[in-house]
Amino acid sequence: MIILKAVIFNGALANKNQQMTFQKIIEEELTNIGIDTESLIMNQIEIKTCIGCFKCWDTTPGICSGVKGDSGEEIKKKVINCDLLVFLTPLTFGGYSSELKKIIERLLGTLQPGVFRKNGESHHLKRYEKYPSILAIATTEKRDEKEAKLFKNLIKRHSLNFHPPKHEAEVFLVNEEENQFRSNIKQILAKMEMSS
Amino acid sequence: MSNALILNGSPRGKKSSSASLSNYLKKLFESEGIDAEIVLILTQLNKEERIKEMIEKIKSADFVVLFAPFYDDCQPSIVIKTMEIIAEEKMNLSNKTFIPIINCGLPEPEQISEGVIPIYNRFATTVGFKWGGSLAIGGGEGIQGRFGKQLDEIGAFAKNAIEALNDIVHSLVSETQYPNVEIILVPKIFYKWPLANLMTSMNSKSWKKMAEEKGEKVDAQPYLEE
Repeated sequence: MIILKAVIFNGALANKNQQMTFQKIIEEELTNIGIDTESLIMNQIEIKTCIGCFKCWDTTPGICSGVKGDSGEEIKKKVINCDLLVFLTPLTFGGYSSELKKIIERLLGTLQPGVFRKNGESHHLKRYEKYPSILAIATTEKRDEKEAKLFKNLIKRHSLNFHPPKHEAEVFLVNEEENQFRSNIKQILAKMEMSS
Repeated sequence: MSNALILNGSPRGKKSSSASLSNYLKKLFESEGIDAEIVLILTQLNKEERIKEMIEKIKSADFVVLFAPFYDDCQPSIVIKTMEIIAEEKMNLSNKTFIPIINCGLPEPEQISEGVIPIYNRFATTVGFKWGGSLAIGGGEGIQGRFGKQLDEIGAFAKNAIEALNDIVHSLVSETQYPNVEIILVPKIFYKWPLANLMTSMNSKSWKKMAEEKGEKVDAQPYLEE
């Protein structure tokens, strides 16, 4: 039996709600379906931001050699070799938190620099044959349909560029009832047909 | 006298398309008698006192223009961090006009308009800025800011960007609403069949060549586990 792997990026901001209840429920539900799961709390890990040097494209293809002395490459290796990548972020004007985004932008080297055209748009080429599916969960203090729509659109756009075989996005209230959250996560994972 | 704060949100800092655009806009503002200052977000976030300094500059500005690249379908993380800080401050921003000017390496400004402009708009309306319109620049990487070139040094390629920046300053000075505008720096014909295929092929080959000159394969697959 092949054991699937998942990596959770928890993009909580330092000194704010750490989203640990949600992280724990997602971990448990992934474990329940036989998926090996590792959670990374971004505000506790040294990750520098992308400096836009393109060395991961033209100098050391696939490897970031422009930013040194952090965990960016180690995390990229985990991403390339996992089956599901979970984004867990405070909803930030309909987008990602800065803590989540700093690791997402360090994944640029998982793509190739050239482009292909699809539906009139240019997108970067795949570097690898297989990429992880994406489950994106945003949490918010106040339900806002406009922001929820923006978040789902962002994940759709991200998926056009990062080639996940499957992607799902959902927004939850920070005080969402735990059983309800668990039930929703189960349903989403079932829809994504994720299990080892 | 009005004053403008130009935030450069490029992780490349002074050598970026955002810097070339910022420098040009600063000159335009000054030619209209508007005091303008450029602040590099990259260095401003390094220390607590610099963050406070940036907040004070926002408080005293009439116009806040943000230049930033389009990274992975949205804002660079340093720009998101700045947005989080501004929101946390809970300032009264109702008399300040905010305009994001976003450039993208890919040629289609529509990717910017669909992806990130609505997020900037949501930010502006949430924190209380007056939305002053937006500019999405397709092919902005071609401004060659990363080689330190200025907007008025690169000839016809910059024409559409220069015109748009002029329009923005005119709108602010005349207190008329600037719309949400998309421009493309490479003529559109190059991105339509049959030239589109040629352009994408040339683009891929040029990256391949750059990697080969360094003894590398552009399609290398490091880190894969068996």
